[in-house]
Amino acid sequence: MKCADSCRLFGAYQAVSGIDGNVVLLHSVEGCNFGTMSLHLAGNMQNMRQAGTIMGDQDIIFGGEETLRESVDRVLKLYHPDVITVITGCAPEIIGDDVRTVTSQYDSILPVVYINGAGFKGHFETGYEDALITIAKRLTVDSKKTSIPVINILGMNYDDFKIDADIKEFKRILGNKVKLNCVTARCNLEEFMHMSRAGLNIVFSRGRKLAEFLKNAYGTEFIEMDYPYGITGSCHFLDSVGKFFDIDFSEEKERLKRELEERLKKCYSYLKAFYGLPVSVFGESGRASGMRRFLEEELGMDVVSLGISSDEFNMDDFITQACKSDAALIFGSSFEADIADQMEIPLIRYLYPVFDWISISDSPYIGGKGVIYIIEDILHTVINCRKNKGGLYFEKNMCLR
Amino acid sequence: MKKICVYGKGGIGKSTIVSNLAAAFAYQGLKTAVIGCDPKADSTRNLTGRRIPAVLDLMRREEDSLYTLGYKEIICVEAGGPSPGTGCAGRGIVVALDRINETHMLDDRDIVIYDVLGDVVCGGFSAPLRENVADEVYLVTTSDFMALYAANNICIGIEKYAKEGSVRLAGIIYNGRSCLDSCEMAEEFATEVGSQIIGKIPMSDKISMAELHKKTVVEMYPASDICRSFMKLSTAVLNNTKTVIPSHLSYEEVEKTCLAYQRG
Repeated sequence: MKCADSCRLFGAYQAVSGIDGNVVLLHSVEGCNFGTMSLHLAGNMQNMRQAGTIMGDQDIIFGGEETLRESVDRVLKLYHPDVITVITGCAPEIIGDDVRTVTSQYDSILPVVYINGAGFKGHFETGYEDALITIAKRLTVDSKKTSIPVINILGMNYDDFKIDADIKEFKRILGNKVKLNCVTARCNLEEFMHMSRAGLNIVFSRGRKLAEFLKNAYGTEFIEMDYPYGITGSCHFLDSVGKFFDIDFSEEKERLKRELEERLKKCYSYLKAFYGLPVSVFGESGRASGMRRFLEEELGMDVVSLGISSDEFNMDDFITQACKSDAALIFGSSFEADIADQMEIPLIRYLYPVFDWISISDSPYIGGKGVIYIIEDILHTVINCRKNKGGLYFEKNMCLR
Repeated sequence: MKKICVYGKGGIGKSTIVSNLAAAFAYQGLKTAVIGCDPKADSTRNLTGRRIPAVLDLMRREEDSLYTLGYKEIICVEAGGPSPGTGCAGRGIVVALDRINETHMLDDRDIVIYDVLGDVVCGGFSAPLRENVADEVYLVTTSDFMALYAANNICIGIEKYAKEGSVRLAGIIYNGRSCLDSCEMAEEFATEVGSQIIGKIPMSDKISMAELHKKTVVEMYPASDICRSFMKLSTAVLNNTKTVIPSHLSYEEVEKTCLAYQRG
């Protein structure tokens, strides 16, 4: 037996909850509603567009269709949504609730999209991809390509740490040369429906299936890349977009480098202490690879253990490997706090879910600004943890240099 | 208190046998209860003269009394369940049995009979085999292959729960209502799984007639031969001490047993 490390319902929830005007209705037991809400809360407490049918024994025995119908009616009355996404959990899928029939009864009022989120049907990643495809097939329309270059960004998520600041930074570095249409993490229904007006989709590891669908249905090309941490990542992002649209971003890239040099001069001695610092990085492919590259190539750290979540990935093996290593810092989500404690090293939160740290300032982790904020966060964390392994290692490095 | 449970293929005559057996016990002065574990909720119709409200429906209405008194003060309870094609009937059985247990309505009974729908298709329908709900299981069968096949499947369920609990197979009730009336076939099957034929109920038009009048033959035809068959069965069940953990057969063995008794 292996402990669960992800759930299809959570993936589906994260994929569709970024569409403003969409209310997620979880047709499941109380825990699914509580769990998704608790992971989401730290991201944006003000915008809670979710409800649950909270199935009980009576729903399990007699079927939950009537409760679902009542819940959809209540959501309509309370939220006045543009679209409702019904995500089912394990219980209604085991007893065979006819969710499709219930949701289709609202066709004349608004789109009520049914997504099967049963945990036994797959894990987080399949839930995420399948949900995006399902809602896109239902809502997107064939729109005219615009005359100015427009891109969509797929694979950024509603609950991601630093999401608002990162989107803002993307817009800043793209400047006036390319317009950002739809970011699946933060968009309105109109932007989502008209995704096909973009000439290019950028995929940060997640959202590939949606990109393939958009290519097949509307002819929109896509480029896959790691999350653009660091100056290299940011320049690669600009180069890829520029190459596709035949736009020169040299000026923007130069400005990014210049800004960084000016800022980082102030903490140059600290930066030298990063050289050779052994660290551990965990995350899904696009983010973990992007972070690893930034830490190794730009900060000179040594990533001694790398855990990339996938179908074959075994968290226990990663923990064993990380504990055996001499890592002095670990990069991951709030879930990795226990591993960090076990290893007596500080944790740098950069990955979903982050529920024990908040991000309300404009402090992105991508782009030029992102380099500054990641460095600040690493320094603050390490300097303030002088008694554990990570802090001591840094202190030693500082003295040596 | 004797707690018995009657299983068998759907439509094999379980409810008819359970209601007549209960009437026979009550006729002899025993405090009896019948718990129908079938979403159709019709196990006790012949004892009460009507369809009674099911526990799950009464629970939804938050009513306190979950049972109806039938023939000779027999406590009649129907677990109930969802409409066909919706919900989870198995979960309904579990919840209803828990609720019945909480009310202590069966505490003063001499004998309680559970009438369980069809096969042990899921965990819910095996609930009476678990948690000391019933001690003795009786299987109802005809001499049809599918009836014996279902009986064999139930033996698998009993074996599973007998390893940890007190439930045992106490015997097989032969119902002679199929076109091939071969009690020998059922006897052979009973021997092969390590059990016995505890009683035989012959085909009788009086059973159908009594059911049309929502009565048992014990109540409607007390002097009839068929009533005597039920009385004899009730005595055999009361005095039965041979309970076993069955050894179920393979699919091929069930086929072989049935083929050996086919005529022509």
